[in-house]
Amino acid sequence: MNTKLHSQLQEQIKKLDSIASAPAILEPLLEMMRLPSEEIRFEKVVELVSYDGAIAAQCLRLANSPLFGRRQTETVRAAVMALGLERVRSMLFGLCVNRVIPADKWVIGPDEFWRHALGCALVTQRMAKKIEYPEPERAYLAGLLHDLGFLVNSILYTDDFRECLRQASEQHVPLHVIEEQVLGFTHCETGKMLSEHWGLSRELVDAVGCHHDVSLLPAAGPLACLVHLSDLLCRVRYLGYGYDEIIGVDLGSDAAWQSLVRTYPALGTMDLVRFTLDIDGAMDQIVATVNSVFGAKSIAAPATA
Amino acid sequence: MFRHPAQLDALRNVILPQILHTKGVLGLKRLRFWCAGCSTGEEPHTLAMCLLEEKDRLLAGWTFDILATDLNDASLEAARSGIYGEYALRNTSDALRRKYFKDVGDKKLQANDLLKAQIRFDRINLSDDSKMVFQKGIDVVFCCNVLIYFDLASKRRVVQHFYSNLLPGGYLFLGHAESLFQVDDSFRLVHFPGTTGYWKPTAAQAGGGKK
Repeated sequence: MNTKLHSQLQEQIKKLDSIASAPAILEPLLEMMRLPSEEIRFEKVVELVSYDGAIAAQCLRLANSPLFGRRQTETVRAAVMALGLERVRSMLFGLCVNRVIPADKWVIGPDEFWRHALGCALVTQRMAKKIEYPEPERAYLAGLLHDLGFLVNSILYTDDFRECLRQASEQHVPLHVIEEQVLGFTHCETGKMLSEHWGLSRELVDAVGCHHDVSLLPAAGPLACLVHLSDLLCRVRYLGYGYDEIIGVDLGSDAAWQSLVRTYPALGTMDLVRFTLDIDGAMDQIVATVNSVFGAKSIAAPATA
Repeated sequence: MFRHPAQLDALRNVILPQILHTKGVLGLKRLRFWCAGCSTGEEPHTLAMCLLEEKDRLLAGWTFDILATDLNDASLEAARSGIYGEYALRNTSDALRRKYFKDVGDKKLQANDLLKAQIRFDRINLSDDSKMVFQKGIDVVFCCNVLIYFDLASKRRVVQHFYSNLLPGGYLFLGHAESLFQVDDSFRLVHFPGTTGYWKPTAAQAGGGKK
């Protein structure tokens, strides 16, 4: 990408915050996204959730779904407790971002997008735990945000981006390959710009920007490597963007894998077949979460704490 | 039949194009498949249909043969007869049924001569080293849910046999939940959409990437 295009994109991304109907809680929420998970304050989350009726209702519905085995959650406070801070944080984020994007700008269904994002978040976190990466919650967040650029491209280049997806699905190839041909840049680059603009941590920015090619980083951070591998694993377990990619992934000879295994030897002793079966097992949970957050239409009157 | 569509997709979409490319350059236009532990023959018949369907497309100008082996004589006999009921054929489309089967009454269908001609059945004990060493030049081995009956040492030996039976660049498919973790590290695990396979690296690619 040349410098002119780069600065043009940067300008447009800066304007994203002001366009459309960014929910009032987006700003404080973004601030919360920058915190390490142990610093998230329970009261703050309850406050944010309660602020928006529709969001509060969705929290309650999810907490009351059979998935969490709770039938009697009636307050936002109890719902947040049942769901866990991390899940609520990502749900809030998803709901907010969803509203920033006008309905006609979605090039795929929001549910499809979030299925991949949540799937990747979950897999990144699980993998992080397996290799004893010290901050599995940060890994979760990185997985959730890795395709931010997908949203940027949807908003700023709706028609061209739709064409990218069409071609990618027709040719069964990864999206970023077509983006490079059609747009001249990829969702990795625009995602990097948006996450920089939002002031996310360096490591998160790198994970967003380099999740398709960790060799772009002078020293591939573990987070970028984890996200890269999880993204691949999701895509071979039908948690991609809803089209068949023709891929055979040899993780063992992947640069990210090799870089990670040097720092975290536990990765080398991981049974990857079992791990992918684990992912299959988690799939129901991912799909149910996405459906209950983004799928269902009716919104009941919320009860706040 | 068609119990593991993801395996067949991986074969058709990724593996065959890869192997055809490698072998095509060398002017070798023949493929060999082996269903090791084929039981009553559903797997080789499925594979045969899948390959026949590619005869005028992917496999135009190529020949292939399928070796299907089992230890159990009764299973082999059933496999040879190629007679299947509704349950075995529940995932087989009407078009394929018409093309590759004939009605033998009693709600059963039998593989027709065209389908049968693609498969050679044989009795092989996977633990019989003297027989295993003679299987050569295989491109893809299917050995689904067979190794689960072996202890670790015999499992290792069978997998090592498969490794030498396969041509460089060939693949081994195991059952859905089977893993070679801590059994063998000569093969490389490859993830395909919805399934995994084990790859025997070609000489050129063998160097990099081993842990």
